[in-house]
Amino acid sequence: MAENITNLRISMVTSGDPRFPAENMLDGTTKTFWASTGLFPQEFIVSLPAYYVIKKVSIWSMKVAGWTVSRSTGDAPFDFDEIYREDIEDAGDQSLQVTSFSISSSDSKREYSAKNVKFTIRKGHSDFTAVHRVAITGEIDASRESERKNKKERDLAADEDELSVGRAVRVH
Amino acid sequence: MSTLSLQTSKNVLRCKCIVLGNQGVGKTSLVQVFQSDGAQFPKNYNMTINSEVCVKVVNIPDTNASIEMFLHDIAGHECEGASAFVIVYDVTNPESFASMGRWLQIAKRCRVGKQIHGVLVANKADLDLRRSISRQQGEEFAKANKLAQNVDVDAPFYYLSNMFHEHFEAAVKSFSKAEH
Repeated sequence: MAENITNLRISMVTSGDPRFPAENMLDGTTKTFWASTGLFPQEFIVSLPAYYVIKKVSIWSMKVAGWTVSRSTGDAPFDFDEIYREDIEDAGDQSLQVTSFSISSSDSKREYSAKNVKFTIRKGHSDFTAVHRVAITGEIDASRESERKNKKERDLAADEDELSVGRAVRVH
Repeated sequence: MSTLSLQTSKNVLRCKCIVLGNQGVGKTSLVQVFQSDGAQFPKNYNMTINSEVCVKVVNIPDTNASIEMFLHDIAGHECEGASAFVIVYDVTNPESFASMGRWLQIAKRCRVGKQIHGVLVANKADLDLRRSISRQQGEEFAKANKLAQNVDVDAPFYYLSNMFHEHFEAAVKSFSKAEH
C-alpha cells in the first residue's frame, strides 16, 4: 500500500537563511518555507526513514523555473538517477507553484526502492526561490527492510560476542 | 537531526555580479581595488583574456547577513544567472561611453522579465585634463535609460550588496504571504 511517508529528513541543502530552515519543507504545511539565498543551481536531499518504492512526489514552491528530481537506490546518498525534469511557469508573487508527478512507467528502476531523493532547482524566475512543502508517497520495501534489520541484529550480536571475549580477557 | 544550515546563525546570500564595459576602461582595476579594500591598484595594464571570477564577502551592517559577491570580470556571454551588473566607461574615452547602450542591452538580455540591479561607473574621473565625457552627459544617459534612481554612489559594490540584501528581504516577505 502506498502511503504518505512521514519522518522525512533533510540531509543536505546548498543554502539557507537560519530564519527559514530547510526542515520547514517537511513540516506538512505550506505555511512555512525554505528560501534559497542566491545563485543557481540549488539542491537539497530528502532522506527517507526506510527503503521505499517511490510512487509520487509533490512540491509546493515559489519562483522556481526548473526542477530536476533524482533518487538514489543505494544505501548512501550517491549515484542519483533522474526521475523528473521539467521547466515550470511562474505562478506570480502570491501563489504557490504546485508540481506533482508519478514515477514514469518507462523508468527502468521504477521497482527499485530508494532511501534518498535529491531535488535540484536548476533556475529561478527570480534571484531567490522558496519551497514551502515536499511530500513523497511510496510503498515500503519489506524484504529490503527486514534484510537491513537482520543485518543490524547480526552486527549487534557480533559486537556482543566481542564484548564477552573482552570481558573474559579482563578476568584473566 | 540538525543539518548544516541550522548550525550557523549567519545568513549568507550569494550574488553573481557581472562587470561590463569596453576594453581598457578599468574593469579589472575596479574589481581589484574593491576586493583588496583599496590596498591594491594595479599599476600596469594587463589585458584580461579569460573570464576572471573573484569572491568578496560583504557584511551588511546591523544584520546577520553577509553577501558573497561573485564578481565576473568578462565579456557578456557568461552573464546567465547574473543578479547584478556594473557597467563601466572611461570619462577620457568617448568610444567607451558610446558603447554603454550596447552593454546595457546585454545586461537586459540576461534579465528577461526580471528587474535589473546595476550601477553605471564613470571611471578615471581623476584625469580632469583629458576628460571628454562630462558628469552631465553620464547622468543624461542614465536618465534616458530610466536608470537614474540614485546618483553619487561612491562604493558601487557595497551599494549593490545592500541592494541585493534588500531584494532578499522583500522576496522572503512575499514568500511568507503566499496563498495556501
